[in-house]
Amino acid sequence: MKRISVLIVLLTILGLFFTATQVLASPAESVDAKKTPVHTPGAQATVNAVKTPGAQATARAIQRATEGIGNQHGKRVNYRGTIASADAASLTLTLADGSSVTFSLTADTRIRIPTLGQTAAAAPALMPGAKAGVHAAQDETGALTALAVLVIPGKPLRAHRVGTVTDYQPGASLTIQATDGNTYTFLLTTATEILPADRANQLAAGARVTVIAPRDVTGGVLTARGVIIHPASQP
Amino acid sequence: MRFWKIILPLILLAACAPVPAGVTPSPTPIELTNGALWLRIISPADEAILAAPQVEVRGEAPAGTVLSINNEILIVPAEEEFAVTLPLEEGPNAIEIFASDIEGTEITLILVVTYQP
Repeated sequence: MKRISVLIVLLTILGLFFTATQVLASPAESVDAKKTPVHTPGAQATVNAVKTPGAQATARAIQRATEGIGNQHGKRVNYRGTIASADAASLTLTLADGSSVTFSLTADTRIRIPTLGQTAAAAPALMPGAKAGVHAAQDETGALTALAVLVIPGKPLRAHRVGTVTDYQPGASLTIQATDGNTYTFLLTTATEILPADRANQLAAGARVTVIAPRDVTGGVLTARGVIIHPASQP
Repeated sequence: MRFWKIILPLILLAACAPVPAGVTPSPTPIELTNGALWLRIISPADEAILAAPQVEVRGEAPAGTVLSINNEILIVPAEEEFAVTLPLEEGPNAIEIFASDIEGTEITLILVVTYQP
């Protein structure tokens, strides 16, 4: 009986240790984040509005410590999911567990859609079905205001084309016969990196290269971001 | 018997303790393979939350692998290790990692990290 008791105590300690590691390993901002059921556009997510004085004090402390982009106060929380709907005033994400969470959008919300380049996007560009990450402020009532929205690209924005140079016009263009059998021509600019620098003089017809350029979605001529010259001894 | 009445609920409580929901970093390293090409990302973890406005992307790949990581272009040296530091904006940031070898074999990976001052 004594042996069983010792075993039980050990199991209990192990269980409590496992629980502690799970809680400590999770990001703090997710602990208090409560997801709402399905919302209509424009509605704000609501979280448990009844808080103890201690919880309120904690929330105020977090608020003071986490002031960041914009003038929005509140605890910072982060979500990732699929855009269910969006309009000028709100964004609703469907999370991995199937639940939904809705954020208010304001004039200060920074929306980034990498496929559109570096320029900031507007809410109408948030297309349902796209993956997105949202950095938001959560006020005392649980309402979420999006501070930053990132639409996660479904495909890489760039392409690597490996092939053999068939034509090279320094500072102007480069044409390669690629390993996929196609011929590609790229514009070269002063911003095009030619690497490694000690092989730059080997860039000529017949050289084996990798050209890095934006992914071709229009069929137009692309500007090379970089040209990597492989050693002549390689195939 | 009284002992069991006390201990058993504690065991069940510990076993059933909920893991908080939300954005949780994925485990690292992230390892991907395509034919002879392989890529191991040691850091950062996908969905990592960082307090600094930059992140160091560290990993391993075969020597000679061409990498483009956002706007940075690298050629993996003989040591098969690489590292590059990228600036971050507050909020979620995409890190697009594209690896290719001389045969045209490719591996791509998009990580999302959040800069939260």
